[in-house]
Amino acid sequence: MATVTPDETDTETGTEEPLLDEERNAFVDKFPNEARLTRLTFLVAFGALGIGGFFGLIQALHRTGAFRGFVSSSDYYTVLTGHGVLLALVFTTFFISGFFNWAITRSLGRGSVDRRVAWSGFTMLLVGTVLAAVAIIGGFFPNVPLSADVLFTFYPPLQAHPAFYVGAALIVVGSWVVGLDWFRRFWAWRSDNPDERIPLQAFMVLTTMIMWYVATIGVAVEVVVFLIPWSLGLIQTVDPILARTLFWFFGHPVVYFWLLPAYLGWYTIMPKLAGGRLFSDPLARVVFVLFVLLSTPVGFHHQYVDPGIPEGFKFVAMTNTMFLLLPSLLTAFTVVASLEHAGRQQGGTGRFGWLKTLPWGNPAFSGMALAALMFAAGGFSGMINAGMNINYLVHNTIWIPGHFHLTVGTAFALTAMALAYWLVPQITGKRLQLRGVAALQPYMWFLGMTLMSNAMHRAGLIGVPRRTAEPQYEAFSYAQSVGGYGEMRIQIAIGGTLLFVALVMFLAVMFATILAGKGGQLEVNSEFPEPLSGAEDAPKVLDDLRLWAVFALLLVALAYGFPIYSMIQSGALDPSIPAVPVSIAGWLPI
Amino acid sequence: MEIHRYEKAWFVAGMVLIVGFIATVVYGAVGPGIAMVDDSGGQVGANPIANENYDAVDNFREPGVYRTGENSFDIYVVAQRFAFVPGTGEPIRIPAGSEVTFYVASADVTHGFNLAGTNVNVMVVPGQVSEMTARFDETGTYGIICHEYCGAGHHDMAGTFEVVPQSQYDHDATSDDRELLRAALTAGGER
Amino acid sequence: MSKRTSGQRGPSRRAVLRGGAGIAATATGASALAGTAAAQPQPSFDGWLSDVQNYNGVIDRTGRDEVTVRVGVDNGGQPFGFGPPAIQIDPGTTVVWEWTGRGNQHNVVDLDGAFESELASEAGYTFEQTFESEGVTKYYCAPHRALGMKGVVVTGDVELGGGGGQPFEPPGGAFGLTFMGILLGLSGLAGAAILGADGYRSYGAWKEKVTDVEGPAVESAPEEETVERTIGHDAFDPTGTAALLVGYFLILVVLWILMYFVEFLGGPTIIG
Repeated sequence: MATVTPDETDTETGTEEPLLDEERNAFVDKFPNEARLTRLTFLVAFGALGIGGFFGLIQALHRTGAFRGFVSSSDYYTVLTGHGVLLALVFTTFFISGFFNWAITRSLGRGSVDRRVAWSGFTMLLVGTVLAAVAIIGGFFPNVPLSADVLFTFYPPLQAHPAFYVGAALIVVGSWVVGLDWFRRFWAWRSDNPDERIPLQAFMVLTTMIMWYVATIGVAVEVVVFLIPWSLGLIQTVDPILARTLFWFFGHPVVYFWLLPAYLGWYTIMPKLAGGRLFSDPLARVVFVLFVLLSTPVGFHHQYVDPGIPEGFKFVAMTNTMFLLLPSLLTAFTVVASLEHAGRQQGGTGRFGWLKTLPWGNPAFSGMALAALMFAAGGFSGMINAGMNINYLVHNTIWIPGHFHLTVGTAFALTAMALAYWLVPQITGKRLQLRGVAALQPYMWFLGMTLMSNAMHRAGLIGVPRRTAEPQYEAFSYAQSVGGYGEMRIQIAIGGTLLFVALVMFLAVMFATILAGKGGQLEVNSEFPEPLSGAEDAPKVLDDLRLWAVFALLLVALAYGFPIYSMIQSGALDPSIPAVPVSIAGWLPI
Repeated sequence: MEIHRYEKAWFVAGMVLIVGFIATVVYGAVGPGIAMVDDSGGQVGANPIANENYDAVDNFREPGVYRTGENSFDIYVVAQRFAFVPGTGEPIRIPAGSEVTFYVASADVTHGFNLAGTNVNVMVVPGQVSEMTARFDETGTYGIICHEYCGAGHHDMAGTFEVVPQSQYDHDATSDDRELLRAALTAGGER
Repeated sequence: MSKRTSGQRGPSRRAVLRGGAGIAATATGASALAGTAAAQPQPSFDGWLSDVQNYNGVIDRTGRDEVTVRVGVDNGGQPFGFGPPAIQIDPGTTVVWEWTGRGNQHNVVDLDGAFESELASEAGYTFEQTFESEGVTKYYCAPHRALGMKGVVVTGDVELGGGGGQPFEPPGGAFGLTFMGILLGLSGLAGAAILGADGYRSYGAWKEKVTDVEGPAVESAPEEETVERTIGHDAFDPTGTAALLVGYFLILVVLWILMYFVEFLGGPTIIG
């Protein structure tokens, strides 16, 4: 046992008592079961990140023409499906379930009520992933009767093998079960603590999950009620507009499912790493409640240029979306103010001098800070996307991937990597290895993403399409713009390559850390200072989760009830659109 | 709940930004008159389009360019895997200064229809007709791109849209246009 | 040249075969990756025919005035092929492409742009071209080029070269490729240097399974010790934050105005 020296006092209580060792035990020993579950989810998450990231490299080189030797242009779409599903569905969901598992355990101070629930949720997630992945990978091999070359959005009438849809459904249902474990802990905590404010991190986890439950209704209905029976031949046709609408019911709030865990890191962990305190706990709660309410009734902004949907529904979606800017703008204030506080506590002076005193050499900090900075840029391109008519300018061009690589690709992914640097030692009991590599990695990612994303935005403005293996057409050439199209292609290729290098750096650090020895003194801790403006200042109504859940469902019913009803009235349940399977010859359900 | 005064100011600034964005978009709808593609094109099954059975539907007709007035045209386009009909191969041509209404339908899966570099950019979803009107005042050649994944040949799916000078147009009008027009007229005129 | 019988539009068999389109796509693509494109001792014409599954060598069609090539024949299980894809003819021969009616709309397009047929789908539709001078003519069907619907006409006694892979098309040409190569090389060197230096130390630590392995992992001391001064709630006015956010606000407004009024309203737009 490491001995306790006399000058290790409990500074929070101000007493002279030495801290007991169990209180300073790392998470891995305080909550071994939860630590193990988090480790496993991170393993799957980072594995998916590695494969999906490699696919991204193939894509960047292929579509710019820099190197087309990995796959044929037809197989590009299999790669693209893998990239989207592995990164935007598997990496995200697994990382979040592991990260939130840690957060709620630490925040409420208790583990699972029933471990079987937590583990069965994880098992469902894993089985679903394997099924979907096998279906996708089957697309590379002509002799295998499985494929799912339908991309991450799987719009019918393009039809994948049923395994793909079943896998997707299992991932969604698995996430529900995982959340159930967290809510049961909360109810148990609540019955022991009837009058206390919900600890902030737990509050963030629970509100995010409420939003997730509401959001996944759309895709669950689409997949379970329509796509699985359709792919099995039990129903003959699926209306494409109804399917798109149900998908985007989910497809927008899912990005907040990715963003809010990043916000949890930026609000609660980043100030601590910088040596400061969270500026305002109440405002953090307000932000998360706003996301619960507004994330879902906005899905039509992904369908601004769809036929078959009246302009009125699109306009309502636009106003809701524009108001959804507010919680992110508020976050900008709170997060930067917290960092300023940290910088000044570290001795920074002057209006901007405090920026220098922030711990830019600590990759857990720099990763999150750079991710937040990049999110400010991604937020702008998101504002353009949200404008109902200006959306014509950018829809389905490569501007859109430019936007979301800034948001999920950096604000989420880089934050996840930064959090990993800080959290993995605590859930494994091992010190972080290859620290030099880790310190550089966020900057490499930021540089690569800057190059790639800015070129994608500009190329989108001249009309270069997304989701296309060879966007160089013989029939015409793109209008010239500042820089020229050829230069944009080079930037995308270089940026994508740098991103892949940064990814390899991250995986190397993780791998080396896993191989290290366990035990002894870590370099990180999970002490969180009190916020400047504490939870006691927040109105109690913010903690009324049931109220916000009901309100959210109401808003969704308003935004989607009438549109879906009118689609059904015009015959969406009995369309005459034949399926177009993308499976290999030998298997045709219809 | 105490809110720092800077935060209150930022909250106001944020609301100003949001309202400003919405106001700009509304201006775009009201001033230059930008309209969103909606359900006015009506519905059409994929099979009649795929089988070229245009007599069976009343909101779509044989693909091609139809003159509807001195400076206005209706252009019916079918998007299919992996070509635009017309557009791929033979370019769609109209004279500068025209107002064009496009009617685009899909024969199979979801496609995109984008005049690259312009704001004529819509989805083509089987079951629906995408109807939109635009003015082309200046000459130029635009690529027609399908930007929604539709299968392995997706990246070959492109066409050309040419806005030619008025004088050139009458000479270049293809025999097909005249034939189609003649056929349409003899079949009983505009539907 | 082209006989357009626009009055006759018989029923096409597209609906039946459309379901197979996606199959061809994946099959052709997958075969390129898995390398199952049948062993081709025959020339691939600089890779032009390397992904054409129904290509089985250059078929001799010399000694005739007119040669027929069918459009829409089986290619890898789907009707996206020319039959036969590669022929050798005498100068002065007329090649007649005849549509089978299968596989949606097809056309015949010369790679160098010398000729191009209409898009057609009905059986019996024809397009012809007379080849006077010696040479190799590559052609394709535009909608199905990606699926391997390509062909070659070899006129006269031409030296047929060996096959090769698909050529690269680096965007910046040689310069772009070199630049990328240098960049990758430098990144690799830098990465290796860091990994090497770091790795050496880490490897040493790993070898001895660093520190006292007995006992639990213990967190480090709380951070209060590293803080220079504590700033309480009432003492803090985030002026730096305010300044940064004002700057951000201005950038947003300027960019929005540029995007909306210059970029967006500058071009043809949907007005109805």
